[in-house]
Parts: sequence; C-alpha cells; structure tokens
Amino acid sequence: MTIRYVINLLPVFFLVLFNFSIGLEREKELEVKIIEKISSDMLGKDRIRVYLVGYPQERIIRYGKKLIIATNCISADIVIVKEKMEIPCKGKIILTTNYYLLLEYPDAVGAFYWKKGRPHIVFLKERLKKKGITLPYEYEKFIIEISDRKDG
Amino acid sequence: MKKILVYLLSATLFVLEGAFPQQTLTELLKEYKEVSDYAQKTRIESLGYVLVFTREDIERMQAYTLADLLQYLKVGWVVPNRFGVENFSFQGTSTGISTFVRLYINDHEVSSVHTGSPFLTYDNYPLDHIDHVEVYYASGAIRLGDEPASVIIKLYTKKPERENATTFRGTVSINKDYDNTFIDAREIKTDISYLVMVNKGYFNYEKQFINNQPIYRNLWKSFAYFGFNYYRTFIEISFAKITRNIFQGLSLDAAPEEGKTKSVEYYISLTQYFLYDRSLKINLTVDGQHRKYHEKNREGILIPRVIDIKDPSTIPVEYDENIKLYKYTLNITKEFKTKDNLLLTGFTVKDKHYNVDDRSYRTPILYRENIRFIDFNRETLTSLILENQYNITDKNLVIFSLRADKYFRKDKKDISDYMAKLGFISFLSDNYMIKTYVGRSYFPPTFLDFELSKENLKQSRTKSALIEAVYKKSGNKISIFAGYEKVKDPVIPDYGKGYLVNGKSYEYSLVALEYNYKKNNLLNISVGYSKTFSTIEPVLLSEETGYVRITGKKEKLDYYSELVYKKGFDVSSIHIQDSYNLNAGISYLINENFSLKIKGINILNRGAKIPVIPVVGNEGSYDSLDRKYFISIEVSY
Repeated sequence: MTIRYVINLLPVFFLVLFNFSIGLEREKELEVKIIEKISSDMLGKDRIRVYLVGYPQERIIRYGKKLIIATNCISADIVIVKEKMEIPCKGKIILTTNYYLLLEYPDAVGAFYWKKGRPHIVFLKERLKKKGITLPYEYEKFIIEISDRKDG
Repeated sequence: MKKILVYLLSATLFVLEGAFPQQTLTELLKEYKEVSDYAQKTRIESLGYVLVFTREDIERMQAYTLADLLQYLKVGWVVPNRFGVENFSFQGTSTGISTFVRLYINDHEVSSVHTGSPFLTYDNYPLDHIDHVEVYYASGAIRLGDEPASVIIKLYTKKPERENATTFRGTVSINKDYDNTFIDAREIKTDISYLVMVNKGYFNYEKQFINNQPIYRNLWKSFAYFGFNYYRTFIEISFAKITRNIFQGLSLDAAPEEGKTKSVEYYISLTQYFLYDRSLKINLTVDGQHRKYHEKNREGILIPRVIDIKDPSTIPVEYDENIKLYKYTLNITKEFKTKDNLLLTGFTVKDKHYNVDDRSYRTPILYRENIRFIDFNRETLTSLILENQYNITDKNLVIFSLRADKYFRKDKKDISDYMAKLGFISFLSDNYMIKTYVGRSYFPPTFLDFELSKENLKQSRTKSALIEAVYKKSGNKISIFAGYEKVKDPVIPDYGKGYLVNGKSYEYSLVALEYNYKKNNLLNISVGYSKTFSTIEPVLLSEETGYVRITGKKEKLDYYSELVYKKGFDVSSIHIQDSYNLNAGISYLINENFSLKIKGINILNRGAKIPVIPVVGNEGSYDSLDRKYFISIEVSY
C-alpha cells in the first residue's frame, strides 16, 4: 500500500518541484529494470552477463543490479541489440529494442520497443520453444506467433 | 526543499530496494509508460494556468488540425474572423486578428511579423506529428523571449525514437473536404533520429450570405515539417502554403465580389544544447513569409491609410498587396539549479524586416501602385529574461519572473517596457491545490496596427491576476479558475475617425468551473461552465458557456462526444440565439496498424452564430461551424 502511494505521488512532485530532471533518470532506470526482469525470468538466474550491441553501456552500469556487462560475446548469457550490426558469436539468446531487429536476427526471442508513442513487449513463441525458454505465466499476453504479425 | 529531496531520495531508494523484486512485468511497463509521458515533462508552471491535451486526447477527439483542438478550450475558442481565419478569441469579446496569442512549434514561435497573429497560416495546422499541446492563459510570455502574450499555445512534435513508424491518414467529408497526412519518424541509432510530416488538405465551407451576397471561406493548405536530432543538436525545417477565400475581407458591406489570400511561410531552426545537464541552450532561427492579398468590392474596401472619410471618391474598390516578411532570432537561455532554487536567465534578439512596398489600389477615379503606407520597415526586439522558482517548503513553490524589452524601430520612436509576474503554487494537502499569479505586461502595437491607424500608437499596458483551486480525490476532480485583466490604452477602432487609436481602458474578468471524473484510461467525463464580465464594447461573442464532454475506450473502440451550449445575446439590431453544438466520434482499431474513424461536428446544426455589423448595408450574422461528417483511415507500418 505504502509503495503504491509513493509511486503515485512521484509524478506530482516531479512536475512541481523538480521539473523533469529526476523524471528523465527514472525513465532510464525503469527501462533497464524491464530488460533486467525479462533477462532474469528468461534465464532463471540472478546474475546475468549481457553483451550490448548499440545499447548505452552507462545505463546498464548505473541501473542494472543483476546485469554485468560482458566484454566478449562468447561469455554472455544474453545479447541486447539496439542497432543493426553483426553479432560476433552465434546461437546466443537475443533481446532487441526494435521490432524490425527482432525479425532480422533469427536468434532474437523478444523485443522491448517503442512504437507510435507507446512501449511494447513481445516474444515469439516459436523461437522461445526453439531456445527451450519457458516464461512465467504473466508473460502469456506478450507471447505471439510470428505469423500473427509480420509487419511490426 | 531539502526535506522533500531527502523524502524523495529515500522513497526512490525504498522503491528500488523494496518494490522492484515484487513488481510484475506488467506493473513495471505501466509505470515506465507513465514516467515516460512526454506531456508531463514539458509543462512550464511559471507560464500560468495550463490546459494539456495529451496524445490520447488528440486521438480520441479526432482533432486533426489545431482549430479542431482549440474548439475544446475553456473561456475562449477559435472562431472564424472576417477573413474566415479560425482565430482564437476570448469568450465575451469579439473576433478580429488576435495579437495576444503566441503559437509555438517546439521552441519556435510562428506568429506573423506583420499582424502578430499565427492563425492566417497555422489555424488548420495538422496535429498528426504532434505529441501533445499545452495552452497557457498567462500574462506575458516572460521566459520565452517572444512578443508578450495572454495565451500561449505550445505544440510538441512526437519523439521519433518513440514512433518508429510510417503512418498515413486520409480523411474525407461528405462536404468534399479532404485532409491527408504522411509521417515517417524513426530512430536511426541512439541519439540520432528524424521526423518527417507532409500534409495536404482542402476545406470546403458552405457559402453564407451577407447583404444578400454570397461569401466564401474555403481553404487549400499544404504543410511540411522535418525535424532531425543529432546528439545535442536539433534542426527543424518547416514549410506552409495556404490559399483561402477572404470571406468578408475588408469590404465595407462585409461581402466582397472576389478575393483571395495566399500565404507561404517557412522557417529553419537550429537548437544546440551545451553542458552535461543541457542547461545552456542556444537557438537560432530564420523565418520568412510571403503573403498575397486580392480583394474587389464595388461598395468599397476599408483601407484607412488611403481613405479620406469626407471624400467618398477616395474609397478603394480593388486592392492588392504582395508583402514579404523576414524574422531572424537568437535566443540563449541558461538554467542554474540548486537544491532549493531554479534560476533561469535568458537573452533574445529578434530582428524583423517588412517589405511591403508592392501594394496597389483602384478607386472609381484613380489607380495607384507601389504605394507605401508608412516608412517604418524594420524593428529589432531585444529582451533580458530572469526567472526564479523557489521552494519555500516541500509543497509550496514561489515563482518570480521579470523581463526587460527594448524595441529599436527604424524611423519610429523606440519602445522600452517590462513584464513582471509573481506566482505561488501550493499543495495544501494531498487533495487540495491552489495556484495564483499576478502580473504586469504590455502589448506593443503591431506593424498592422500602424497601417490601420493615422496616429502614433503607443503600447497598451496590462495588469492581470489568475487563481486556480483544485480538489482531487479518487478519480474525481473539481476545479475553479478565475481571471482578471485590465488593459490601459488598448489599440481599438475609433468609428468616428475610421482608424485605430489608443482607446479607453477596459477590464475583463472570467470565472470557470469544471467537474471531471476519470476512471483509469477508460472513461473521462467533464462538465463545465464559464462566464465572463467585461467593459468591452461591442460584445460579439457569447459571454456564457456550458459543456458536457465524454471520452472513453471500450476494447477496440475509442469514442468521444460533447455538447457545448453558448448563451444567446443581442447586439445592435442583431439577436443571436442560444447555440447547442453537438460533436461525436468513434475510432475502431481493426488491428494494430489499421484504424477506421468517423466524426460528426455540429450534428444538431445549431452551432454558434457570429454577428456582422458592416460599415454599409444591413447587419446580419454568419455560422461559425458547418455541419460535417468525416471518415478517416489510418494505416501504419
């Protein structure tokens, strides 16, 4: 109850007293928390080594409690892709921050991305199955079959 | 302030440590969406009383143009003026060319240098690429560095990194209107993104009759916008082309035989942010406007500079102008933040050039061309800005703003003046909030004012006060808003002399009440009432308004409906009846990328009428709204 109360109050204070400087930080923080939550639930681990492709490192260092940046792709548990670039290792689980990148990389299982002003999370059923990933029940509504949406 | 900072930090830490492990992905996503809301981040409390139209509001109300949206304002609306331009006017006043409104597209102000009003070109500006709109009722525009304002409208373009889509919207109406927009907005890589918008439309209004002659206000419009973000640099290029019938124009009988206005406007704006916290901002812009005007009327055209009121043969029957206007602006602002204080300092130089020599007119006995009404053709505004926001306690904020301006005028006396404002915002408890502002401002005569006068006009000075009180509890919100303004030396027409003069002071006050009920994101109901009291004469717009508005969502359906009542009144020999404007719309999301929308405006065909009191001929009135039904499709990929 108290937690919800505090969360609900925060935007009001940001607005009046602090303008938006803290709000911006909070946004980045929550973005990393979502990536962290997805990674942790997919891998069932509390310490996750992430290899970043185009995703800002400083954001992960600052806000990722369970995320450790992997300097080489081989040792990573998961690859976060923000920009279209060649990934130096094959077969890793990939999470993208753009829908078209999800279709671009065959190893990508899900995407956390913005489209038309709203954040979206999506996982591809076939690819999760191929990688042997079972997600908790609350993820059901984010899982689709690739034939459901080809155009993003 | 320290207390609240400690409180917030500890609350944040508490949330970090305690709440996240328990938060589900859905909860995290919901909070992320709320915290990321762009509309929450741009609001400038120091500017005044604010109304915000979020992206959701704009979409649900199917507001495709700025005029569509400004219909929903309290206390004042857009109403077609004598040129058929949808001009913002305060309730209980009249509709002319409002020089007190500043319209911003992001940080760039787009009012005409000549008239001081943005609406000739931008009244039907498309909103497809706009994320949200803020409307401030304010005294001055102190921190913004542009000409003083009573109303500030800020449009914020969508953030490309949050769009990542190409969208097309096509709208048609049964009255043969069409309005099409294409948008492409994408993030190329982190901190590099772009937004492109192209719009083309035609609005076909029913012809109306004044003095038994038809008058038209059809509009042809084309707009393009390009925004490019490159790390700390933001470049914008905008283009607008408008052609419209002149409606009543300047005709003495308010019914010209023929007439057209064409306006081409463009600007390039460059904004650069400096320092690690982006607290130093430099903006450079170049604006241009080419405007052509043609009017023909055998009963005469009101051009005060050439008319000798005692000699009817001096009255023009045909008038043409081809004017070119340029504006160069440099704006620098620096913010200083400490734990207790936010100080903003700024400096603006705005150099305005008028090239208005290409004018001609014909009277029954002579033809004259290349005429110059006045020698004044350049003005440079320089402003020094200072604004301070200080938190007295954790829930009380005091705002003080001051701006000193000097207008260097070629071949005219320079003007020096200042604006000052004091504001106080207090959260009395979790349920009660109060905001108050008192201010002093001024309005310099515009270039058009000088052309429509034969006197050496001086600036009008204003004193104003605003108060807003809000009570909020579990989805219910009650707000009361009251305002007062006294204007000394207003620039108004002197009917005896036949031109503009600095007239008698007037006072204007208003009160507005609103009850709002909001159930999550699914239902939003507003009921409101407003009334104005003024010493302005004549009153050509209703002084009393009431409305009921519902917006909502049910599965794949978005809907809205509103009924606006405006009380009738009498002016001169004209009786204006009570009006009931009913608007409604439904959007159906066929799939994530395809939606179908239907909208009806003025469904009862009992929208407000506006009185016309021409110099010659009979008095009458015209409809401010046509009854129209629109159908739209929107496709994204």
